[in-house]
Amino acid sequence: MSQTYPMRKYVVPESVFGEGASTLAGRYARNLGATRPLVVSDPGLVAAGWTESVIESCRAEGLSPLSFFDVSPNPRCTEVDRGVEAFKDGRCDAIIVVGGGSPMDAAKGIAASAANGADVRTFEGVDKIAVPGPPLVCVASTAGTGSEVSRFAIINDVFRHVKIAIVSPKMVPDAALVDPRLLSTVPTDLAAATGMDALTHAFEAYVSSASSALTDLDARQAVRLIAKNLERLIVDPGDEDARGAMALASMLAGRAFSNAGLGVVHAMAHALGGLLDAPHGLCNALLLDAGIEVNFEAAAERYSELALDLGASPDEVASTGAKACVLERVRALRAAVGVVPGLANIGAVASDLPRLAGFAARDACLVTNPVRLSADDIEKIYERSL
Amino acid sequence: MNGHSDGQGDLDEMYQKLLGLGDSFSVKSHYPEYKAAERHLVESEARLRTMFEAVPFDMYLIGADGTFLLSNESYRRNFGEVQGLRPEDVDIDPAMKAGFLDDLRIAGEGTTQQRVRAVETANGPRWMLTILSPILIDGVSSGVAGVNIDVSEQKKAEQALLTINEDLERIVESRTYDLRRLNDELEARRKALERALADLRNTQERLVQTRYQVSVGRVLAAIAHELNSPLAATESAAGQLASMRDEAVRAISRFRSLADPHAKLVDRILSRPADIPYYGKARRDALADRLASAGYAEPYELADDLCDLGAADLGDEDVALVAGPGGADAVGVAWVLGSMFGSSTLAAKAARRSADVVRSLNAYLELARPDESALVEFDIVGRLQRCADYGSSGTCPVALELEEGLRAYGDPERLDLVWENLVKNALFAAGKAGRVTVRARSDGSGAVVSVEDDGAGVDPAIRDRLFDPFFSTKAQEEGKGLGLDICRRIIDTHGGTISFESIPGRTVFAVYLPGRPDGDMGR
Ligand SMILES: [Fe+2]
Repeated sequence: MSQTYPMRKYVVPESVFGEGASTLAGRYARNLGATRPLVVSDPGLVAAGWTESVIESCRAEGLSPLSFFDVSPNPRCTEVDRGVEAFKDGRCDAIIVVGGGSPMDAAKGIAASAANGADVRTFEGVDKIAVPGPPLVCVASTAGTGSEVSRFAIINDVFRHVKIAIVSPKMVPDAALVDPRLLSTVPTDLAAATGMDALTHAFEAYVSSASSALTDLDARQAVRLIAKNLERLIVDPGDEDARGAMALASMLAGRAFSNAGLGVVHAMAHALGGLLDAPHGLCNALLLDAGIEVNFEAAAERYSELALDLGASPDEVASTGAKACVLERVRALRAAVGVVPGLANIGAVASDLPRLAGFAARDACLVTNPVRLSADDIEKIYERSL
Repeated sequence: MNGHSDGQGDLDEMYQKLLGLGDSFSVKSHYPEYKAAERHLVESEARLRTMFEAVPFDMYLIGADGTFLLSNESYRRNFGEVQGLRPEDVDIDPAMKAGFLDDLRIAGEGTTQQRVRAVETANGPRWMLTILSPILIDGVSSGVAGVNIDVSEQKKAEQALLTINEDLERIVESRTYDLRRLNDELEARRKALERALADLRNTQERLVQTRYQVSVGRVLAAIAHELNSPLAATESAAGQLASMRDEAVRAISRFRSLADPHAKLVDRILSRPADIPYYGKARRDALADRLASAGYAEPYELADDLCDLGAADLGDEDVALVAGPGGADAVGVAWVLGSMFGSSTLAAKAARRSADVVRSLNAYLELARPDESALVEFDIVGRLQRCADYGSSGTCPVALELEEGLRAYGDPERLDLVWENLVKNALFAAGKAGRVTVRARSDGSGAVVSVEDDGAGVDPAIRDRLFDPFFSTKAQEEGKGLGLDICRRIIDTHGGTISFESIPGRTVFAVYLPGRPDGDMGR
């Protein structure tokens, strides 16, 4: 960091945080000019009833909502295509998405593809979307993805077996509604994985080469909230304070990485998730420590700050060393939420690594990694994490 | 930091994009675009509205709520300001209002309606074309756009065109009729020509026939002339022979007076009738037997001679005499004399018949020869009255229906032959129980005489041959076959015609005689 305050932009959508925020979905859609919103969700949320309440809020505003619930975890490009078809057939004029990262990224893909009349895979990379999509209202249902406030969308290219990262300001939703109540129905393992995803967002944004004073605030606050609340929430899913704090942390981490970008951990997690169809948060949890190790020298001071945010005392950092301290804290939290280290646990084998490294080296997230890494460098990180 | 073998430039570029400092991300960043779009819409609307107002026909928009959204100047001029009104409440000609509202409803359901209606206006009747089209927004009907266009001029032009078409059709029809008539006329002329040609052919045939008959006549005349002298000679020779026979008879009488029994025998043999019947073998054999019984050794030849002389039934004395000495000689004398008598009688008969034939030929030639000097104006009624006399006890009566005072021009004597011929033919055809009527009436300057019978009619198979010379339907004894041919020839010489029509039960022969060539004969 050659400058203390390098010039940076900070974009966030209009956001509503707090209990009951999801009930505003219909009004936001109407205010954005919608008459026939396409409500995108996944079967789990539909079963939990949150989707229906959002649809009801649309009806209450005199809108004619249509449904598209055909979204799986790690949303596929083919699902996006079907969503575009539903959007066009229903002559829809807006999208409301209720869900975690998967439905939200699918909804972003549908919006961009419908508006540009192009296959969602053509948007891979940074700033590849020409025309903004229709109004998009995000109702977040998990604490982790941060997609409701980000300009990122991750889509599973089922033809190449890789997750592609679409990074564009046109992916930023028009409204982010974060209602902690929705987290009450999240299963524990998913809460753990998403929580670790949020932590990775905050870590990577904070050490990103594009970080800024504004994103730093979000990132550090997110790390502090996660350190204090993730384990609490896993231990007691009914802890409303912990739930609210995690929802907030997820949103802050999302704002941070959306504006500062991510790094090698996400690049590698995307490749891994695409190949093994493994949960995104879990991939990050398994790779975060290796990412810290390879990046530490480039952002040692920042990692020591993060060690403090994770709960280490200045003395502890001084005595054990920042690197060891931050690694220890990260691994401890990972263990506390029930994640067993080792990529082999999710099915990765050594022969996969060169290919995974190849995909990761081309991932857009690598752009803001504090260290420039080659495919060979990345392959070595995979090896250490196996 | 590890080195990068490639992609360094790409990553730097991506990094700059990610920072996105050159872009502004805000709804307001699109403000110029929105303004441009709005400007475009405003201009577009102004252009459309100008067109909408300026078009010289009614235009109007009715919204989804069924009220007028807009109407143009033309419409307002005709119906006043209608914005916000329902079409039902607008002052439209009641005659077309119901239909208009129906069309409006159907158009509102998504189907364009187009109709031409007659409307009464202050300027007289006008034809109005109304087109009502649904306004489709996202495939949903959201109102109706309408136009009313005065199409009276087109309608008039259409009707004018229709009239022209009708006129054309009439002209074509009349021309077709003319052509057809001309065609009929040509056809009639063609038929007339055909008839004339057929007549000409007939005339030619008749002419040829006539020439042929004239030459036949000449030959006949020559034959008659050539035959006359030899026939006369034969006749006189026959006469001489007959008288010689008489001489011979007288000589035999004298011979008979000698009282020689054989001379008397010869006399008796020769005194048999002139017309000697033929005796069959039985008679001849019977005579021969008698002669044999009388002692004549070879009786058959002698019996034959006697039979030839007509003496088949001699008395017993004469048989004895013939069978006796000198008897055969006497029979021989009688045979010679008898043969001479017979031959002379036959010769005389033949000569007479030949002379008759020649005479009749002469008569035929005479009749066929026109004789201008014999043509006179005469009282034909008086002549025809004689026809009644042709009837007899063996025939039906002849009825007469004659126009009083009728006169004709011709040869009365020769025409009598015609009437006689026709009436006799008719009587023959009608039979005893039939009916024959002779009529005469004037026809223009000429006269028509007809003879009608109710007989079986002329057999179609022989109609063409009816006027041939020597043709006859009667048995050989009853006619010489010259009848109708002669009739026709006689009428021909009068410049008249003879024709007939015949069906079973009614056969009419009609003769037309022209009047005097120099004018009216009067009555
Ligand atoms: Fe992530």
